[in-house]
Amino acid sequence: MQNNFLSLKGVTFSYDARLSNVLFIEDLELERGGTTVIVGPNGSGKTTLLKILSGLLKESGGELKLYGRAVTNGAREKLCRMSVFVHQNPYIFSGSVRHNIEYGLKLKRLPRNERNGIVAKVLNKVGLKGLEHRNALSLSGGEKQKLAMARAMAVEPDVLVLDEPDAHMDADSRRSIEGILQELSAGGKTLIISTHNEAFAYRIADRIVRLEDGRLVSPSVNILRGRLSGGDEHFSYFESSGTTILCPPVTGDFNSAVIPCEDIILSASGIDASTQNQLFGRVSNIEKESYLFLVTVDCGVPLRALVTKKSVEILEIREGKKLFVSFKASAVKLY
Amino acid sequence: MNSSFFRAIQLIVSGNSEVYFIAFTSLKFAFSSTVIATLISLPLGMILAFKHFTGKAIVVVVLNSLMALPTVVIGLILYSLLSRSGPLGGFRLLFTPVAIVMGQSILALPIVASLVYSAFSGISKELPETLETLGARGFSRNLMIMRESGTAVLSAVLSGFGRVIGEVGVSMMLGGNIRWYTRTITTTIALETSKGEFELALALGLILIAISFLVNFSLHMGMRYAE
Repeated sequence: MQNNFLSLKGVTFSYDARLSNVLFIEDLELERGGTTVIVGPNGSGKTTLLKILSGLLKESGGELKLYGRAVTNGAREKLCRMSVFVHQNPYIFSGSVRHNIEYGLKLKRLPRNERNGIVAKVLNKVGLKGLEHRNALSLSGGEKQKLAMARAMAVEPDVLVLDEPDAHMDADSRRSIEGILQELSAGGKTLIISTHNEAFAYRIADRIVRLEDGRLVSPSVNILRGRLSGGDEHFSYFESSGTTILCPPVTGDFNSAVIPCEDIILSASGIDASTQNQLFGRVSNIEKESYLFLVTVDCGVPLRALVTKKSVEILEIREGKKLFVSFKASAVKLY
Repeated sequence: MNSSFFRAIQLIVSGNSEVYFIAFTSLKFAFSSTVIATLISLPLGMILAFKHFTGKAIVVVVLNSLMALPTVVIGLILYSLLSRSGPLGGFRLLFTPVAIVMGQSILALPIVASLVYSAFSGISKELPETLETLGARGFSRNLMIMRESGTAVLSAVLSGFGRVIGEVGVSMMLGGNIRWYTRTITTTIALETSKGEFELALALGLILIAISFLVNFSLHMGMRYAE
């Protein structure tokens, strides 16, 4: 994989050498740009992983590489400087909202007029416009979360690491946060976000990583970005990069269609069955995924199918091979 | 006794130079030793609260026990070190202001350090991480931690000041109660009371109470203004 910004190999972490590891990451590559979402239950190690990725915690074992170079103390400082971590329960400095946001800017020695502009801009962005002089400690939980995001955005880090940013938010605030995150991502920022809200994850993620008991579990889903383009009594049509996908008849404001990789069928010829979605494309990538294979077929949108070694042999799957890709409309979930 | 009280007031109001010299001397010593103890306690408290090292628990327990260290014991130890025949006798510090400030600093240190440590340990663990991730290092980071622990650190410093301004053992044993030199409010009170002369003792007692009140009051007002 090119453009790797961080790579983790066999990275472990324990809070005390006498205790067992709370984290064991065999292999994880993060690209620069885009939004990676880490999902998993409470206590699965999400926060610990995020802190390692933002340079706040040092891994206990294994290898962490930043742009292909092992992260030593100097590089960790670099990693720490290029990223900002926002806690699930952010620490808010006593004083005004403005004081909180200005703090990082003062450390960068920005002049006052420049600081003023940035403070106004980020407050406007997170929807706290006009609260500049409010006592920050009197804000509500959701507002504090937004303030912490604004404080992080103000210093313009390359990488923004957010630990459960949706935790204290109602549905409206969550939507506005989604918008902000999509905008940041479009602006070229690398976002690493944890959540245990799957819908939130699917709506913002370019890539989902699942953690369970400190280990990565391959989530194996296809996430397609797009929107509903219409529908009839049987199906809704979801449009993604010019490809139309049939889904169960639903209405609402959806931006992502999610299809599990194991629900995708590959075949050499078209099949006549209850699989309402049938696309055609070329194999663009084959990856070994423990004892299975993850085959990516480019059918206008890239779709990944999880298949056995036997299927790879029978269908003679190799890069460039043309294949039919089928899946049931009921396998598609919209978020 | 009643007439002593009025004569004491008279001494204060008339601006008796000896009364005010003694009060100023006491303040000078207490202020210097509190500053010294604070300058050592802040980094010490920060290391204890934020760094992990073996033997940390022991240091904390020792500091806590030293909070109850009797003033006369400090006086005794320093006396034996500073007296002519002692190992530091050559510096001729015994019965000088320096000796008093040394003793009072040692007296205040465990109190200020313990309280500063507990002030910093009370801080949520998100604060140091937030400062680090926003790019604060070294002095600016520590300054913010102090600011955020606000009143707790101030209370620690005030407790240290309170301990030294009112102590008599160290000042008496190491200062020698020399008039116009090392005579402090508390040593004067002890001396005058034993002589049966209550006016000066009472006057100084009133000033001592006023100083304690004023120092506390002005610092707390300062804090409120700052917020």
